[in-house]
Amino acid sequence: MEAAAAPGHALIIGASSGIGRAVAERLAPRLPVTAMARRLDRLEQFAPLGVDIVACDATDFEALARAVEAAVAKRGKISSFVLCAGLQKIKPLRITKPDEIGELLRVNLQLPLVVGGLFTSRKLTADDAVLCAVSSIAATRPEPGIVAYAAAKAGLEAMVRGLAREAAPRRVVAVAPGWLDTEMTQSYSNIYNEEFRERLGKSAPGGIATVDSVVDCIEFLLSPAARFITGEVIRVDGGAVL
Amino acid sequence: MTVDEFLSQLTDAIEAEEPLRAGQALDEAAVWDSLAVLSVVDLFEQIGAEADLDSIGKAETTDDLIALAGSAVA
Repeated sequence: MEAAAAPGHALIIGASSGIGRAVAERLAPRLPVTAMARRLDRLEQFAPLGVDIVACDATDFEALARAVEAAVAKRGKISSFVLCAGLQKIKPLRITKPDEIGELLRVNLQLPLVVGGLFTSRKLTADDAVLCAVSSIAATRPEPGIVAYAAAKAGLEAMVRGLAREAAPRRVVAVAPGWLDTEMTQSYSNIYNEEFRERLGKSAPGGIATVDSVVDCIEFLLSPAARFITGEVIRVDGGAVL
Repeated sequence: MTVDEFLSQLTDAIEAEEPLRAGQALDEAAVWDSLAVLSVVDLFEQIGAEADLDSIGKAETTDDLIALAGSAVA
């Protein structure tokens, strides 16, 4: 069986860069895709691919619900719902301000829960729809300096397991990448520098994972080939966590 | 930012028990571990100084950090 996303309508939140962008590019030739992100100018790259682009701050939850409803009205019920929006801050918890903790929880945990609620709506998603969220190996291996982020991702993974039961027969899954070379990590070039990459390369038996390898996994999880996989979080880290 | 202001903020950032002085060894003044280094990374970002994690981690004295902070501390 082909490991390609099931036919229908794919909606991707956080599509302007990194994994979200790569998922949109991968799925667009095969099915209708709606790509959402905060900034419209970052989405215009998708116009030649026939992707519907929607500017939406996903943490404005009322606006997000309206945008999802509008996308469904235009292109039909969602079969593949991919949540890639995320936020990372690297600093010890002692000096992390409550507002910063709140922002991390809002993007990395509250948003997935809100999206999970939308996903379970029969008006918005097909009976065989799949929700795939992007977690992190930090959820199971929290490192110093990203404790709030890791806690939020652990909450996301608990949601995946719980919602898989609540949303059945729809499926709920996630991928948990290790460190990836994305815009989010590039913003911490002072931490994720060449020495960091060398250390990581030596500690990951399968090598440093790539965005493409994560998208391969997401595409599989969205496909009928994964029809008996739900409530699972698949680690894609080259074995770095071992 | 002046050197004195920087040292004052550095004292808070790494939770040194006494106010830090120029030339002071970091591992004698505070627990100079990976979290302290991350705290200094954050301080550098706040004051607009550019230095990476490894450079800061290799600093041995307050003078090393002042040098790394470059023009942000004068």
